Amino acid sequence: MTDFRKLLSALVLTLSLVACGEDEVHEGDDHDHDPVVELNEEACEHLVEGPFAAVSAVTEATQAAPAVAPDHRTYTVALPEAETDGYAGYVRVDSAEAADYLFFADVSVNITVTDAEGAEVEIEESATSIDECTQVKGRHVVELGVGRYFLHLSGDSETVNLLVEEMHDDHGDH
Amino acid sequence: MKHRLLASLGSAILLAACATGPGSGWGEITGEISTGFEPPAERLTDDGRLKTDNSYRIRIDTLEVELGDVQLLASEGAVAAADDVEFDPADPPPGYSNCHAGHCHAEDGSLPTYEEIRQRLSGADSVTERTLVTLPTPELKIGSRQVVSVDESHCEPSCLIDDMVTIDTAALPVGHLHLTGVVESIVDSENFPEAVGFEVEVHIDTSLRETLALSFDPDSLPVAELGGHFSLTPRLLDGIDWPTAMTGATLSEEALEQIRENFLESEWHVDVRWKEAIEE
Repeated sequence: MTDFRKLLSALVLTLSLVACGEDEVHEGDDHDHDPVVELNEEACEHLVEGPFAAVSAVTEATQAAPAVAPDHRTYTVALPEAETDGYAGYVRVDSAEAADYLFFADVSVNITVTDAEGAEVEIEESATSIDECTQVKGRHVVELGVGRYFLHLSGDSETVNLLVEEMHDDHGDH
Repeated sequence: MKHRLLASLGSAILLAACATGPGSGWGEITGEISTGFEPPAERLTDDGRLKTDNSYRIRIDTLEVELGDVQLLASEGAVAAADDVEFDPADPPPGYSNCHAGHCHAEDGSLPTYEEIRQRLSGADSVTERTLVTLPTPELKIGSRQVVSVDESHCEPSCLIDDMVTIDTAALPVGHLHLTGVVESIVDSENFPEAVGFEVEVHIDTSLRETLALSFDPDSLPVAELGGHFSLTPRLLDGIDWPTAMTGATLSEEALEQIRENFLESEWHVDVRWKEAIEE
């Protein structure tokens, strides 16, 4: 790179700035959003508007359990009749990364989670409502690692609309 | 207008200066290109096997990915403002569906990226691309990052940019993927009772593209330092139902297509830093 070129480039750049004034581009302006609120709002939207996918839960935690996923779809889960009262069945989640998963339901439903080897996974948080809308009757937070997990859903309803969300540090990457 | 006149004056003088001898130009490319397959700890068992999302454990014995040289491309013709095109992956336009992880499924069976779809929607198909520079890509290896420094001996035809031009894409061509290993299930002992060896050949046959805005002009600093990195996704073998997918030691067409789709979730990213001069 010649000194002559550098000098000319600097000259043109300086004069250009004088001629144009400040013309800064502000990229990546940081808009702070509460990821939990965002996820709740998203759940409200999807539980009402879909898109919906119908699946039928099974009575045992096997490979036949239908998959539900954090793919912005509401799964309408048909539950088989339970041996005792109500309805109960299994669906599965194939988790691609270690993260907190949120399960939103539009009816009151009990959820237990087991990993691929049958060990129960602790539910970190459970709530029967959220501030963002009235459609959510159940919200459960579970930390999952990489692998297959089974969700056991049980309650008085024959069908449950279920939405799965995955909590990222930078939620918004859809 | 005043700005244009000054820029034109500067351009005219600089062109004259550049024409005076070799080694000068509007700018220069430097930096490094790296590749790697480095799954995070959550994806590995204690003995180094890859965990899949459906609870298989896979020992990868060999992994070869055919990567071409990185191509720095400049668009020519009427470039449409693809960024202005409305495109919502949650509500894809006609001809596209199932948009996720940066790409959609097109009716013709291809998997265009969101950027490619925006380009198509903007009517920019008529724009032609010219390869200005090619940069070497290091061989991909398991568990470690391989790096090649970009300097004059590696650029083709040259690291010097003689034109006043905008490089808008860094393309990384990908050919085939060859993989051998052993798979074992921890969840499906009934259908998959023991560890099984496999060998697959997957034709990826596409170019991963990263959008750049690398303008060499009188307003730019003379040296563009690139940091290009290709990271093979740890999700490569996710979603395969191995008991039904295995046909002998290889996999069904459906499973190979799943691997190809997973591969396209790999990260190809290029950082750009403008500098006054190359640091020795």
